[in-house]
Amino acid sequence: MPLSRRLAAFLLTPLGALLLFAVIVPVAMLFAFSFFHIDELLRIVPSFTTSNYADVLRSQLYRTYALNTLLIAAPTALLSIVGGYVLAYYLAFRAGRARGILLIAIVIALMGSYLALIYSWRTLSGEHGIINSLLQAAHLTHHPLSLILFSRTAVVIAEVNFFLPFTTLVLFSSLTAIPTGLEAAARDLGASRTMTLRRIVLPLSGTALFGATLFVFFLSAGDYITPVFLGGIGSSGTFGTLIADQLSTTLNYPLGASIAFVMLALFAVTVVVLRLAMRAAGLLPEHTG
Amino acid sequence: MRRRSWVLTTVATLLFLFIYLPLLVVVLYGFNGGSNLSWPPQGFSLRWFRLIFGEQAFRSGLRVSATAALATAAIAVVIGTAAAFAIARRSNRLTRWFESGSRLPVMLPPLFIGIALVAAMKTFAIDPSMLTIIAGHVIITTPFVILIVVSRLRNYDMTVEQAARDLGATPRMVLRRITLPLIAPAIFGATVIAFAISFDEVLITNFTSGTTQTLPLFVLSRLHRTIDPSVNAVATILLLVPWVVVGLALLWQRRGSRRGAADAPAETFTRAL
Repeated sequence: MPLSRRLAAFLLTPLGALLLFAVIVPVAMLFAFSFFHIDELLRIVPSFTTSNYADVLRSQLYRTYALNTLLIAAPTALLSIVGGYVLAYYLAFRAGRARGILLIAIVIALMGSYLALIYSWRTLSGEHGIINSLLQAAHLTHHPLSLILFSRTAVVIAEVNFFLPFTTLVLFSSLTAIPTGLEAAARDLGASRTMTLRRIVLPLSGTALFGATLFVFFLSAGDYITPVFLGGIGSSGTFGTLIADQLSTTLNYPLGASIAFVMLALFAVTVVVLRLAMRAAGLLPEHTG
Repeated sequence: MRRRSWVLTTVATLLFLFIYLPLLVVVLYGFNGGSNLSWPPQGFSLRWFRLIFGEQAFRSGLRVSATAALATAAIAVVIGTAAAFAIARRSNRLTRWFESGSRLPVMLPPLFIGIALVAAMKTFAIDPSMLTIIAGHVIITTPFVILIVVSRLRNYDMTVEQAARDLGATPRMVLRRITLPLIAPAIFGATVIAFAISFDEVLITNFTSGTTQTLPLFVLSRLHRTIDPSVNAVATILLLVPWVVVGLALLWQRRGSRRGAADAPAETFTRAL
């Protein structure tokens, strides 16, 4: 039944209040803070200055952080998407009767704890960790290898591990929405398997690919815990860790706020670049947003 | 053809193992008898569970997390379900704006929401407390509630409501006897997902909690030390609580609706994007 106008407005009021007071106002405050600065006693001085932004845009240090962020978030997004696509394709077209139980397994993994994963990867990949003791027990090596812990690779592996169930579910839904006859029709008309995938299946899941890639990229770039506990000292400082540091260590809140908005601006650039790239590759229709 | 599907099956199996390997390790070593985290585990024991349950900080963290998750789920479900009715049943510019606006908190990194809340707390001199923790959790769980309930409201046969009206039911009766029972599994599922997200949340909570310590923050403080086997036991609890809750919900949903239960969450996540 359609609702009356007044009832609809009444039902939307709590959500409106939540979005206004817990998202829009705080983000506006954060934006205001990004133009303030701190004095010698680390007190926030509410006078307008653009020096935070000037610092961030000029300093070489922040470029290193930007590069690190890209070197972690881009492989994380790419691997999560490729792995998720393979799993989703398998679930959608090949899993047969196991599909239901495997989907539940993915949903359960999605509910897996983020911190538990980080801790587990530390246990697995440390110098005296499980991977090393397994290798030594199998007499493959005699000394513990300083494997992957404390590097960008370790951060990427743990983050991909965390995001895979999510990308799998998103891509699975988009693949199952493709009419079943289309693939067969392309094959009947003489298209090879690769061509069918490239020209029919991939473009039809293009919107989901686009959304999931951005989602993983943003969350990975903003993650400030995984890089600290699994990453290396110099190689894994991301925008996420940089912003968190301003709040917990250096206590320069206005600077942290301005870095956050620079990060948001870079996200916007990422959206545009990815959209153009996917359109050029024929994976996204021309008319979306 | 056969060779190709063999390759796909192998890769998919390896990916499944990759996803589950660290989760299994946590649970396996949570019940490990020895204190070394090397292979093989040294027998089954509950010593780490006994150890952490003996710690005051752990027990209070568990209590704080459970309270926050229950409150979050309750608030998010009320706000989200109310909004979902308006969004699904009345399509105009306002409701469409609310529908896309409600997705915003999910698209922003939690870190950004966390520091924005810090800005608001500084401006209005609000001290960190259980309330600010819950506020942060409600922001990120409400979008999921809206997605789940809206998709259910849009996907069932509306003619049953018309039939009820034709047979003389008042709008209130239709809501109570037809609509709510039909969407009850979705509302229940949304509650469970909100609970699970809140129970595990750390990226926002880290900024909004002040001195109050949730269970994930307790784990985070332990991560700063060198490898500590009791963390496996805490992490096992962090994993098992949402799993048990979600597992029960899946079973219940499967009984309650004829559609495949696992399809529902999958469906909702696509709509998020």
